[in-house]
Amino acid sequence: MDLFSGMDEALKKKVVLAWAEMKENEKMHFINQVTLALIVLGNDANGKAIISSVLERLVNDGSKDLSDFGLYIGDNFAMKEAIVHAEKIKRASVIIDGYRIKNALPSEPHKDLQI
Amino acid sequence: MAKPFFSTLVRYYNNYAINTLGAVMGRQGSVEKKNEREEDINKRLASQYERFLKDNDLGAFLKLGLGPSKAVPLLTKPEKSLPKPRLVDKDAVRLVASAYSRSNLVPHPDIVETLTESVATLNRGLKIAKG
Repeated sequence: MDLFSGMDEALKKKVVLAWAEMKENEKMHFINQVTLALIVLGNDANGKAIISSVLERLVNDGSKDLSDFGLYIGDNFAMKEAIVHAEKIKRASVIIDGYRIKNALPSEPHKDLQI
Repeated sequence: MAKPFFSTLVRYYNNYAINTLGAVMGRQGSVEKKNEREEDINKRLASQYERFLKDNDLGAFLKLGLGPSKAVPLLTKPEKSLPKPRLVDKDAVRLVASAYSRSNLVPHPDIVETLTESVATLNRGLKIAKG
């Protein structure tokens, strides 16, 4: 089962549009960050639901690059699964932050400036 | 007159007896040869089987006809129909593999599968969006 099977169609479309604009290098960073998240959160339905929720926040915030994934995982979640797995999410956030620093990834999301 | 007739009769029976005996002996000879051949084959198979059991000699195993040549027909008729192989997005596999290679990540195969399927879904969505 992939990460998008339970995702809303409109949201999935936004994710695909972001994917279309990404360079191969950015795609690899996205894959690695999601992998680290799955390693910490677990590759079960809950872990996938949390990742799906992170992606939802990412595209709804206006980010145009899925490699910003790590910037959104540390945010506070209202969803039930996230509250139960708060410690794991915090840990995943720390590990992915380390990955982002190591690979010199930006600390701000890729989105248009709002004036 | 009786003497030539008798001698002819005796010669005839002699010839008959010799021919019959020859035929019987000849047939027996061929049966014996066949038996010898079968015995040889059995001995050779037995020695090959012993070699296979003793040394796990694959060559001997194959010569016995117990190897893949006999196993293949069994696989062509499975009791349950095998699941159809899933279509693999080679681009997704390559991208995920190169991402892990770059970061020295070695995740669990289940996670690799999830990511590969997810990337394949994104690629598929992209193709559909492009029409």
